[in-house]
Amino acid sequence: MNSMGLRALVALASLACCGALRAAPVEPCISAYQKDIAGQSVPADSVYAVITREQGSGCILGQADGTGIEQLLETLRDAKTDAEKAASRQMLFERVLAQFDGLPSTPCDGNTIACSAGRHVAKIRELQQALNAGPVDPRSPLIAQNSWPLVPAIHTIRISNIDLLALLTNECAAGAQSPQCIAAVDFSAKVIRTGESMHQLTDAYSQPIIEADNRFLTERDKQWNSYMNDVSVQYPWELWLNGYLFQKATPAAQRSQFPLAPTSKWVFLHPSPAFERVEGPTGGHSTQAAVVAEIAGYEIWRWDSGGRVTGRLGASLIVSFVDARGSSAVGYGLLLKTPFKNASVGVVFRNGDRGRQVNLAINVDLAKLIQKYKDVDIKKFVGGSLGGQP
Amino acid sequence: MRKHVLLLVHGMGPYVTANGKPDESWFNDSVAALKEQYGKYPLVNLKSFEETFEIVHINYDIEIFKLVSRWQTESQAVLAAGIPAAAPAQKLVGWLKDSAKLDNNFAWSHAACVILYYFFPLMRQRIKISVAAQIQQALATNHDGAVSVWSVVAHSLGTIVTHDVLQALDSTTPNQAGISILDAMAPSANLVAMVANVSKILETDSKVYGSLVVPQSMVQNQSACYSYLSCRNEFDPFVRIDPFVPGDLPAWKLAQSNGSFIDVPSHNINELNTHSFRNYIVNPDVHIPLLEKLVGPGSITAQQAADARGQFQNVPDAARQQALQAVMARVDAQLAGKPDLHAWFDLAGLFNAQLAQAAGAAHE
Repeated sequence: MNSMGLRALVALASLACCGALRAAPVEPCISAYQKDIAGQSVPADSVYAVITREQGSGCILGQADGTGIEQLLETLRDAKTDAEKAASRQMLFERVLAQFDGLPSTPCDGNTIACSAGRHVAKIRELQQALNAGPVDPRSPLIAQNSWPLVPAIHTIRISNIDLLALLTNECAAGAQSPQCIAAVDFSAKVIRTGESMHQLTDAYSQPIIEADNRFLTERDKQWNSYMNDVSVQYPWELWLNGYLFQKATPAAQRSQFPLAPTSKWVFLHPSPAFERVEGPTGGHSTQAAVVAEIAGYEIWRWDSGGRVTGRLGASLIVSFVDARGSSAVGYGLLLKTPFKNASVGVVFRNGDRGRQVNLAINVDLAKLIQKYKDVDIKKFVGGSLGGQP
Repeated sequence: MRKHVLLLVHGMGPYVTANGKPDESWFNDSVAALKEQYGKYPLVNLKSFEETFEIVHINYDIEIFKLVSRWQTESQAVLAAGIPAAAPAQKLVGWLKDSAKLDNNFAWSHAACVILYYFFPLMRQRIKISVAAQIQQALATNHDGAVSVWSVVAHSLGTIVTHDVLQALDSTTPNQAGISILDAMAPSANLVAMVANVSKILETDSKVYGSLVVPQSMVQNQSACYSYLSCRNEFDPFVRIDPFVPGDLPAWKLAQSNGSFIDVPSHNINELNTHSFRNYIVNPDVHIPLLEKLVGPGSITAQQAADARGQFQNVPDAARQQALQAVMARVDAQLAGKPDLHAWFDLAGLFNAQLAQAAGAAHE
């Protein structure tokens, strides 16, 4: 039997069954289904897998879908004003409901085509009425993300409680090419298409909530990115210590979600390259390379609305190592963190040939700086930065 | 209309290039391994892999690499300062000087990923939110419409990352309506496939058996997925420590009885790296339920499934040959100047026997 003959058979069967006034629109999936199963022995419980493969790329809202519903969905997506949205929504509902013209449709329990179609159409009308009546409760199952689309793994459209695998397996028991099976395929294609259309419509309706959630995620992402990558680097033992304190201070329920990034951290045994203004043996001053080790310190900051660090302040007790004539190699002092580009300034007390020195030290976030110049040789970079003193 | 969005989440190892950009090689290999099996079954292959799926690579190694790169840079800078008196500071950070090196650096490129995720809660949070942002971007409505079907295929360390992120997405309710981020964003995942599932061993802030990453059912209304596939190969040392076996917990038991939770204990050695994604996917016990959940039940007929299982060798001859060559290569190197050949051949024989035993187990 060719596809034209089958389509006519489906239409006739529908009319004979229920005496519908309007004929069902031609279902583009019948010919696609015929093509898919040509030359193959398809068991009844595989018919579901065949027809659902048409979703998206084929005759169900794909290129071979001639129902015009995909175009109406595009119109709805492009609608700018409330009036435009309402008008395109109305057209979509009309076209979707027209899919079931001529099909038996009685809302009732059971997995027959008539009962399933009845439940499905009733839910579409319910959604239409709810949207026309005004704002829909965001928690309503009518606009829930899980309600309308067909999910391959569970083969069910939840809102109308249609198990398509069971329906098709039952209706196709006489063979994948039997008229009863073709009618079930016809119905399944319509249910999947219209369910998917309602999903697209309700998703558009839920966008304000989705956008609020996206803002939350984006802000949290920026905060944690700043914490790990913009605030000065934490060595493994510092990251472990601050992590331990974070775990202690944050309830388990929050930790398993997306908690706020910390607004403080401890600094512990943290060496980093620095510069120190050192007094020479003749009394002159020069800027020398130094390694400043923060023995212990603490930093605080705030998060602004864009997830950026603001108001960063902190202080650390330091040991500063230099290799300069006329000065002791080891000095002690205090480092103050500034909000400016992770830079810190400090005062270092050091013994020298001319007595006790009080020197200025500057520490920049070299790791962060070098991240911008990844291909630069570290020795040359440091040597250059320190005025030729490697 | 959107295609089926398929998120791929990598495991431990380096998944960045030397300049910190995402390295796609694992993703490409994994897609190739999936496509190889996809093409074998006529009803699955009714539509091409590309027509069916929109593949999204989820990469969290970028965040790990950023951190270890900063350690490396800072360490090298301290060492490069060349100040003799700073020797204690240099000792303190010297071991970090190669932390971002990608080649021949197993400790940093593989083990460090797991250690940083499990033992460092701040890094874990950074990875979670980074992955969540990538998922949010992948599932956002675009010019082709809203996502109606999506699935995750995660491997190794990626299984616990995926679990933790989905748990967070499905339990965080930042909007006034009190709807979770995941529930507002998209339908629940069609399938969460955990390949080399180490989520039980590495669970931390939320427990994997009691979380929302469990198939929806009559006893579990709020959940992140419709179906869950857990794969554990008995020759994979990483999954043997504490395998994912939820047992009689009601939500899991019901899901297992209705087919929405599938536990696949396999025992094949098709590659010497039994932990590899491909070593799992080639096994029909793994890829048949995976493909059926992805494209729909019935897409592989009972006869096709039986044929595939019948033809599959748990330890193919090629793998045994490769294994023996690897053993002999080591033996050759070890034997320089040592006459005791017999002990080494005994060792190779034992190894061969073990492989043969594994092959035999497949037919039992």
